[in-house]
Amino acid sequence: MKRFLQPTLIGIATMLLGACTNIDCPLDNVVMMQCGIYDAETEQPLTLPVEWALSVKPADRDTILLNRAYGTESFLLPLKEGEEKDTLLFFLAPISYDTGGTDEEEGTQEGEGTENQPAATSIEPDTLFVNHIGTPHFESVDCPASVFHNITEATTKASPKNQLRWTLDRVKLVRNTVNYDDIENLRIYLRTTDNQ
Amino acid sequence: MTTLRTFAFIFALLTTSSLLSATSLQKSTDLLQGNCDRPTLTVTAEDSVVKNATDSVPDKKKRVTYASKEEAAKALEKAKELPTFAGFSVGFDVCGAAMAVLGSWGQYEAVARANLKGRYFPTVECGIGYSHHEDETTEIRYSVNAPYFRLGMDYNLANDVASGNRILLGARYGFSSFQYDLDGPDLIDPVYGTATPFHFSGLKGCNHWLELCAGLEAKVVGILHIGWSIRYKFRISNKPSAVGSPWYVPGFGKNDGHALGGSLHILIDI
Repeated sequence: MKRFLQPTLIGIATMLLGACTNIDCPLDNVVMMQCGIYDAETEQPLTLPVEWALSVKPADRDTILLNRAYGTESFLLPLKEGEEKDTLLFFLAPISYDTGGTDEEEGTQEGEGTENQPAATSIEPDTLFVNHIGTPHFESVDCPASVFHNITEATTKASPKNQLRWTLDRVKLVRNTVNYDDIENLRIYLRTTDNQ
Repeated sequence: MTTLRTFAFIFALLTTSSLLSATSLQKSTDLLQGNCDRPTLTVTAEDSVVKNATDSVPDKKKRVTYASKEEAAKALEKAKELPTFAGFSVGFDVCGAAMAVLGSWGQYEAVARANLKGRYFPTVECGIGYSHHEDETTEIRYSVNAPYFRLGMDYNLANDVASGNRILLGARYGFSSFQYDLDGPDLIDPVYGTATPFHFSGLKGCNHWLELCAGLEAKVVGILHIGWSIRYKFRISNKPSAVGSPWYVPGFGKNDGHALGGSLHILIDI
């Protein structure tokens, strides 16, 4: 009895080990472009002052991609999966500007603004252009497929009518591949203007 | 459920193999302890004449004279040695075939090996890895049907090499170059709502890996052997395609840096 017990137990252990399966799906299943904020003069990371809020929306629709981010030095933006060019509008306005919510007392709707609180979207935005090539990505049959991007070009255009203190100066591409990794893709340099 | 049935089937085969090998091992142990009924050569110190220990084979009494006990022991030991080329075996893997039929992937594998002195077994394994799997959650379908090859050597640790029962330790080098198909529902952009098709065929993959094997083998009857082995595989090269790495690699299993597997071989001596 003892003589075949050991090989049998080894066989059972082998099967049990082989029967174990694990699913290695990434925790992040949304692919986002990592953008860092830098000072155009010192080229050092810049933390947005809490008095200023950054909102980003695509040029061709009303979707808000980034809603009033403040006190941060980086942010994430999604890229279009079905197209090869993104045109993104940057609204960098004082946080007191109205960009959303319904004020029942004032009777305003989202983004309309009031006399004392202009709407953030009423200011002239700066523009970021990102050219990229999207490629479907397969990890495992257990994990949903996603689209990775390879950024080929990134440029900015500051609005000549921007009367605010901060504006986009330039952008630098530091990593072409946009995937699940939390690695910076773009460095966005802000410069101060003569306006208050 | 399918995985459970697969391993229940394999467990039944392994148990059968172990029972048969235990019976053979018991007989080997009796031989070593001198409890069998085969004739043995003995030498007495007084007259150095060899006598038969038993009368179970009365028609084949064989008298050989040796000068001393040591010479007789050496002659007995030499009689047990196998020649340098002691034979050739072919066989197939039952475990992989069962997995191919019952599970998400598997392989149909043939084995050929030489027997060198009952100690060294250079082995060639080749087969076809098969997978045609669709995940019920993601609805992604993965298909591959491609060959693979393994080359290696086993070493027999058992004392009695002539008995046909073996304790094997070995290593393999594996290789597979294959094409696979991926198919799934369109990818919907969660922000913009656009659809991107997800249909790919003929994606190429190429993997190299090494295996460490350990197992037992029993002589069932005549030229028939059954053996099983545990294999630890570690990948040394993986070439991903444009959309990523393959999910199943023929001969290796689920694509990862390392994998654990097993085999149940039925072999015939030629």
